[in-house]
Amino acid sequence: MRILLADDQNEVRALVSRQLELMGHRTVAVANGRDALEALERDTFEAVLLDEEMPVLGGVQVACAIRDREQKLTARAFLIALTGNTTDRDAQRLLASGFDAVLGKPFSIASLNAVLSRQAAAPQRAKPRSPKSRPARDPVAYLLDRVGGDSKLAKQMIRAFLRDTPKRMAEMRKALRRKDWQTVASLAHSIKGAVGFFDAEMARDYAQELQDLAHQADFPGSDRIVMLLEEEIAKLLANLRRYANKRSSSA
Amino acid sequence: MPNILVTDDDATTRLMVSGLLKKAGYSVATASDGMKALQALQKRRFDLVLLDIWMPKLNGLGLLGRLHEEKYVPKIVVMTSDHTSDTLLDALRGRVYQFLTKPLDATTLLATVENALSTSPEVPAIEVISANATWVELMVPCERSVVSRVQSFLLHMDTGLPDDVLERVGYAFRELLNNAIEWGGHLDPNLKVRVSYIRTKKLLMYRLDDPGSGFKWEEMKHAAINNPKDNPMAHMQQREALGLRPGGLGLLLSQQLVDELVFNEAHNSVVLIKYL
Repeated sequence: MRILLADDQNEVRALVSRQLELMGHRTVAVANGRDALEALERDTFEAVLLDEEMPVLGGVQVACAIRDREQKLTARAFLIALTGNTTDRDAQRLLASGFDAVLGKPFSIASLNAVLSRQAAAPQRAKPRSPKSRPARDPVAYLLDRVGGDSKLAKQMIRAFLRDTPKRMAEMRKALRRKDWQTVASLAHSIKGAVGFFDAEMARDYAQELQDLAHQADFPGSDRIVMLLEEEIAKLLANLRRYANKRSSSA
Repeated sequence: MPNILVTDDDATTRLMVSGLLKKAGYSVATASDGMKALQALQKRRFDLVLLDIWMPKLNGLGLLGRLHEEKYVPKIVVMTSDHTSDTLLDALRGRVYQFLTKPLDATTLLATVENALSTSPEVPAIEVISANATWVELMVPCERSVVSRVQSFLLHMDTGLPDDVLERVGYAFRELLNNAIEWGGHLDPNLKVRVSYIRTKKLLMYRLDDPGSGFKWEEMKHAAINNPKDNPMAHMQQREALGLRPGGLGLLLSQQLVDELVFNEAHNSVVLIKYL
């Protein structure tokens, strides 16, 4: 079975995923609810184990989000709550919020196994689909997350990025024409660092590749990658400008 | 109020780091290259420097070299997206306090800064015995904060292992280092644990030698590794009775997360192996 496990305690994560592996399951383990939702975007799991109390997003919130998304789909995930709150009332509450099963902590491997066999015996609810590449996240939401939700700081950073990046790209073109490899590598490195704030994965990869090619003084290779990088940067800048304009006109 | 100098050529990064630190109540100055940072450091005393590696004029590593010619050297945290083993080793040799990976995030940044500032200057430094890509050997003081510091260097070394495997190995390493510092060194910063990282074509090996007298398995009822097969949580009651923090799964997990875990006879040296 392919299982997603979300628990903020390292020990629980490591112990449970190891036990699941020994039972022949494949496990992806994450430390909070947000990462669990992201993993579910990328991949399909036959069972999802969610700790009730986790930072960022708790188990109940994740369960609600999953059930909410499923309204448009035919597949339904098998959700198991892991909780320290073990009264019948707690179990009822968790089942009502969308969980299929509840395991009180500390739980034995046998009880985990029993719950999982329920799912294995049930008719296939979730159609496994092949893992796809991660859809691009909203760059501003990603940045906000990085700065702990400080929107004023995020805005200042976006402004600085919008101001500096076109200059850097222009300098990069010039340096490449001069075959000034050190400057190309150094600018590629700076851009790699800056786009990291916006989760611009493609741009980051191109910048890394360009940095490597500059070290090898590869002109045709660098020329080609600069073009691809320019395209990615243009997309990101347009996206961020839209945000900056929208914010300043609404302010 | 602690004084922090943020050195990075990227304005977006400077804004982020200084913005977050100011909001957390620190006094912050910024520098956009190594030369400016050096000038600032010669003028004023800083408690901590956050340092980028790739910068124009004088880069981070160059600045480290120049700094050690000065009388007073503040704590230095390197922040970079460049995790080549060479950069890590240069940072280690430059007596860098800790390594932060870019892109940064608020939580990690603030935790690292707080950790760096709260470590007493009396805690002896991490001593570098060997620092090349295949053999890193350190003498680390028995003090809690060194665990995340040592890990920030060793786990970013280029091992060729996939991230999830590395995370597991890292977990096992952290458990064993915690044990060595806590049980072997009794959290006495004047005692040291010898930490070795050895990378060959076929394996990755960590060895930890603690300054304690070792332990006996039969004394380890508070550890999950001694639990009977049918009761994997038995040690929890034992720990509660002994007034220990919840946990005790470390050794059991470590054993399961790597390929080999071998103790010497006294149990004050341990070797952890992951085959590549």
